[in-house]
Amino acid sequence: MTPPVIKPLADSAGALVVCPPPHVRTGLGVRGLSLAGLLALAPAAIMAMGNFGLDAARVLALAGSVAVLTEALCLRLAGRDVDVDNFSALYAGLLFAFLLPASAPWWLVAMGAILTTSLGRVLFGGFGSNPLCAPLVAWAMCRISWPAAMDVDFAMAASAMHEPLAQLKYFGVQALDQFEMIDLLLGRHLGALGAVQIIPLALGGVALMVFKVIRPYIPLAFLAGVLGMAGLLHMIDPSLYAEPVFHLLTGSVVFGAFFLATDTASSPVGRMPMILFGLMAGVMVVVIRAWGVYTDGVPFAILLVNLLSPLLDRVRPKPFGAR
Amino acid sequence: MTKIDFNLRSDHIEPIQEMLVPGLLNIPVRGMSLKTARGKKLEKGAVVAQHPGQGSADVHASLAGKVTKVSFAYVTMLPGEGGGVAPVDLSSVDDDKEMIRTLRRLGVSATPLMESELLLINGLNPEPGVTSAEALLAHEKDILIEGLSLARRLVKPSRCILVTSGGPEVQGLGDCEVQTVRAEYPASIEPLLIKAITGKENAEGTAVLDIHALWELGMVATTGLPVTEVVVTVGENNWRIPVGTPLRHALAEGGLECAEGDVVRLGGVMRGEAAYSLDQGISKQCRAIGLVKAGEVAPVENVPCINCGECVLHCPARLMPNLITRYAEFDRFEDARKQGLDICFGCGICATVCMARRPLLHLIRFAKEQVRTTLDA
Ligand code: SF4
Ligand code: SF4
Repeated sequence: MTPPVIKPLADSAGALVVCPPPHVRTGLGVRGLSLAGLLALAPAAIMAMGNFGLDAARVLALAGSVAVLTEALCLRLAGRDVDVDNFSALYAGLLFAFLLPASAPWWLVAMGAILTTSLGRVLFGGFGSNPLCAPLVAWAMCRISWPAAMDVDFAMAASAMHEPLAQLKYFGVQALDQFEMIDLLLGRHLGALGAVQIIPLALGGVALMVFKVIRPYIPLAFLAGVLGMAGLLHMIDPSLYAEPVFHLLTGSVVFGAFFLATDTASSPVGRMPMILFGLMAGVMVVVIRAWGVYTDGVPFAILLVNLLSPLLDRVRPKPFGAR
Repeated sequence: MTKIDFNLRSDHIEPIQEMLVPGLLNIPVRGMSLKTARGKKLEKGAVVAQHPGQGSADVHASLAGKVTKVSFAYVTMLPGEGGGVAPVDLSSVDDDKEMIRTLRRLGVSATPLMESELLLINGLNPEPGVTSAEALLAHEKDILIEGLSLARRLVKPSRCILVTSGGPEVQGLGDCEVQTVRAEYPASIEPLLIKAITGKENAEGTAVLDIHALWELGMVATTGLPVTEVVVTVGENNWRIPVGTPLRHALAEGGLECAEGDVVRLGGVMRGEAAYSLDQGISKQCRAIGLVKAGEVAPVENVPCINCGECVLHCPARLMPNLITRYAEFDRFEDARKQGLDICFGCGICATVCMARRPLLHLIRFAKEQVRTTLDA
């Protein structure tokens, strides 16, 4: 039982506002963070609609709204405050949509959005308690359950464009000549609808770093890991392994670096753990691309290092004064 | 995003002003044993309550008058006719133990006066929002030097260093060495100050006296009378105020107007408590009074930690405040301790930078209090 609070001299008439110190605060709050993330995603979302047309808009809208509704429902069922007005569920839903092919059928989008919040977040105690990046949990479930619908190359077979990573996997480095650097940068190739919008994603990501919404450790280490590992392989055998820049600009590397790997709950805290986390994820991406069954590698790479987060968090400096 | 000003240096300090005597005193006595009763007439300087703790100081009537109300937390007095207690002749006290006892009876906390190799005088303002330390250093030098010679006698240091911000109005203190540190909060916190000067994190044999403590010592040394006043920053200026002065009076005299929705802060910006009533009397530990205007600071949010790591990256004690506070929330105080709860300086930096705006400092204080009262008891 909590003892009653006795406040001598407290007269209810002239009561003052009482709040805990400190009386200065920089944090954005959960709502601010989600809004900043949404703002950073906006250019890429617009560009996706430009490249893939209304299909992209359809997927984004559906995933976002289903994610919010699912979260609200789950919170209601759990008897907790419904706090979807902090936009974090919407943000997670959009992140998931960014990983889908633009042609994804409505049931797949809805299913993924439901999984994002229910399995990815609520099951573990809600936003902040999820040990794995929620949109990636949904992505992995869908990718395994409905491989055909999730496979970009297959799902978008009607399109005249190709998916670079699939070309690399099945036809080797020689097949990559068809892709111009500028097309890769502008998202004029097949891929997940949001994740291929390299330039706007990079801009959004850098803006997040500049405005101190995210710390640079994870994204930069992630990119360094991808470049380093890809460079190493390319050096060993350029006829077998693609150039590092190709890896950087394809699949969801840029998206993953700035938006997925930096998911606060599932990534470690502390400078060194963050750098190690980013590096390991980056290296893993190229390893999966080179030897794994999946063409992209980013989602599984991040999910795998998510599992290592608690371990990485143990890489700590000694507390003050400890011997 | 808001940029926080952690600067501790005050570049322009007016002399300390005397405040008009209030019409009523509410002297804080929580946790002490009362030495007076309702209806009693007290001389200025008479003992009101004694602190049971070792090394802690007594509390005295800061004006002559009549006790009109007594509760577990406050002794209320109406100032009126009456003289003051007779001064104690400190020069006749030869024994150090006896001196410490005498000082405690006169309202000076003797805890920092242990014998030590090195004596550090903490000349920094304790935190943003407080300029009273540097104001004392700039304008009450004679009293401080009196205090210093008494402190030297008890601590017997082989070296004595005054640590300052290097501000224009803050110069040396007697024949103390002077060292300047980067005056940015939390540099003023004791372990960090010791680290900055000695380079060691486990500096034993170092005593730290802050300017307010030195001033109290000096006041007692010069007058032989109990400490009944505090020097407090109210808004921009610094004032000498009788202990127990109601907030309402101090605010009005200091020219601060409290409106609906404002927070009245007792202490600095980082660690100051929010007052719950304008009738609260000012305690001896109070260093500043300020207003936090409605809407000026984003409110704390009752949300779970999102593990962003900002608190971990900023903690000067290199702890994981995110874990400590999560344990505190779920009553797992032993685990909080394993994460370094006892090392925490209580500086509040973690709570300032928390992305989710959790009440980290509040949870840490709660955990410390629980450990103190339950686990250690
Ligand atoms: S209050 Fe917070 S930032 Fe300061 S030492 Fe304690 S845990 Fe670290
Ligand atoms: S700053 Fe706040 S939200 Fe971030 S890890 Fe620390 S406690 Fe959690």
